[in-house]
Amino acid sequence: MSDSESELSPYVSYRERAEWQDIVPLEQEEGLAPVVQIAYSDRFRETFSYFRAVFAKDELSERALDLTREAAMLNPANYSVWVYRRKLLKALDRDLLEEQNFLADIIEMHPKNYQVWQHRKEIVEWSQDPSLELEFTANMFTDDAKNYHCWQHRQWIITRFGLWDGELEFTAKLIEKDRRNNSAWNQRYFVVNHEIEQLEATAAGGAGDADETQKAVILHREIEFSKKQIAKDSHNESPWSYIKGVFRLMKQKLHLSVTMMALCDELMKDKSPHVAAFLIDAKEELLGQQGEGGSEQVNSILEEVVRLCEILADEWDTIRKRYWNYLAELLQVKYQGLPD
Amino acid sequence: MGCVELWGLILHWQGLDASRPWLCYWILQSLKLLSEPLSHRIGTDVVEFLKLCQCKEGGFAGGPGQDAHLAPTYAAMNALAILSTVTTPEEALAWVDRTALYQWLKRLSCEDGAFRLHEGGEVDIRGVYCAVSVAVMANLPVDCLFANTPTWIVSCQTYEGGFGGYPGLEAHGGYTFCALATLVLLQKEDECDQDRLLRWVAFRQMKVEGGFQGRTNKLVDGCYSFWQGASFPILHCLMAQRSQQTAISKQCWLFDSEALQEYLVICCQHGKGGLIDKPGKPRDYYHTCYCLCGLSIAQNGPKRNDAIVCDANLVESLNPVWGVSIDAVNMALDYFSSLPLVEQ
Repeated sequence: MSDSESELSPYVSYRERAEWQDIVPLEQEEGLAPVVQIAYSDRFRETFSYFRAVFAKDELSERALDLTREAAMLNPANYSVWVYRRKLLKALDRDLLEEQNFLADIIEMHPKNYQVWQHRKEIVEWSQDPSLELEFTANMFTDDAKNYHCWQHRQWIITRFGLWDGELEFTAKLIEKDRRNNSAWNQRYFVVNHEIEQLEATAAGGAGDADETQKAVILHREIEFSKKQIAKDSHNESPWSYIKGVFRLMKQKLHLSVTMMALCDELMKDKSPHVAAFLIDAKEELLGQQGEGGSEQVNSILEEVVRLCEILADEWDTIRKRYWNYLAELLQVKYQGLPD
Repeated sequence: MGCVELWGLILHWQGLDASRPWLCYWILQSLKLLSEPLSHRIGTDVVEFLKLCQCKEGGFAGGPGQDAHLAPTYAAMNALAILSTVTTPEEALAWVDRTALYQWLKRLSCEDGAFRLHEGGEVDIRGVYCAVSVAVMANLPVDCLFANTPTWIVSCQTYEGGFGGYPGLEAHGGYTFCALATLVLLQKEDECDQDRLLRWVAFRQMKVEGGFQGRTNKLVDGCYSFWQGASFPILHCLMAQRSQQTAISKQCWLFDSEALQEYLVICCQHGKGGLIDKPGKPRDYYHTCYCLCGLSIAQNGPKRNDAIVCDANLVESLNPVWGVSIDAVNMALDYFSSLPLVEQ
């Protein structure tokens, strides 16, 4: 169900409420030949007719605020209601903590709705109080550890209020719980990227080469972390994309990592496409360094790459056959100068 | 292939009350792909409804009387493009207030090149795609309005190669579609890393199911047949123009189109008509539309001859950048480009 009609208090028609007698409900325009009509319940139809009426008058009152709560519960995706509610909260100078509590409930009911999360963000921005947010998002993750809106909110909170402490450990916990949680891996990259940015900022400020050593420490740490997860299942794509990403971030070469190249050789027996893909990428780095134009060394590396593409296309990763065949041909054209 | 319900339908989804132009687009696009004839009368009725959704301040709302929002604006414009082939371009498009639309887009733009979805609303890459899509279709001045947009989009490309909804967020099929389509519309496709994008999107096809997942290690869903699938004809075009032209196949897109068709046709058809996310899920117009769009891409390769089983399954071609049939896009583009430029 995309509304919370059943969660609302028993319905008393607005028509029958004394405090609403002065308002004439505004019916929705449908034109002469209605299309894509929705079968509104009586409650829905009436609530929104009263909403349209106060909205048209730009009424900024307590009863209007209560009305927006009802309307939002009936259709949380009605963004106009939320914008108006924010206007009312400001005008009436309402307690934002109370609003956060309301939001906690409605987000729980509608965790994949854009409007409720945006509303929460706006409330936190006004109150300048992020103290509940890390716990709130962590709680939401116990139901769905991959909720995109939740991760977006958490990243915003961390960036906006500088709450980076402990986030690396948070990602490690989630990955321990489910090593295939790609959102957690993405968050880890988010944290490590920030670590590197901080290092580079300090270096730019005159700390010199200190940051290169620290970068190497971080790279080593992340290689060990990823290796541990890869060992549990080399067919899990997440750690592979992650560690390749970290190498790129640090401007380090895959083929120069003795640890990673040894790991790949060891894991070929698993027939994981990710192992083969890593080797292809590492060897492509080498090709890039040798330059184009067919020396013996280039040909030899190219042969290995093509062989890997063939194994993938024909045996280990046949669903991507067309892609692997394309990649093999592309690299051959690029590095061997094959005729058109 | 099951039939999609025609007009006069009444929906039991109050949650879509702020998405009614979407319903128009999903249904019209589905019918178009299925080559269902649409009467002039239906065309006029829908046009009249969308007029009620246009806002004085510019753009379209999710329903009559609501605030303008980029998503229903995008959907309305796409629906109108289709309708321009059902009625006439003048009837479908002449009343669109391009001046107000442009001013409204300016108000939604952020300094860094991103766009808010509505005034007082969220910022993410959907806003960017919707804004650029309608601006290009309606022949609005794009240079100033989107000057920083390509840079912002590129900042959404993740270490995985796909794009997130906002810088830092996880690579996701829907947002990746928005990113790539927008870069193409702005003719800035070279600013992103196409090789890493291709690798990521190729890996989103599930070897067991044949359909696509939205993110790494998540489940298959019929709608990603389009969001992910559309990247292939787009990248194909881009790469064919460059040094990859010898390597790129002239026969087929770089994914397993037979496997995708089998997933859609065998697993994603609802018993009573319409299409779905995956077996066991209920049908809806969103999934019907995007499953059919994905099917169209899988069936209509570079040479337009990839349909499996038989031609009875064959659906029409579409323009992957807009998700609208080719003739509809061209009709709308031609019409709007014949109109005078809007004042900046």
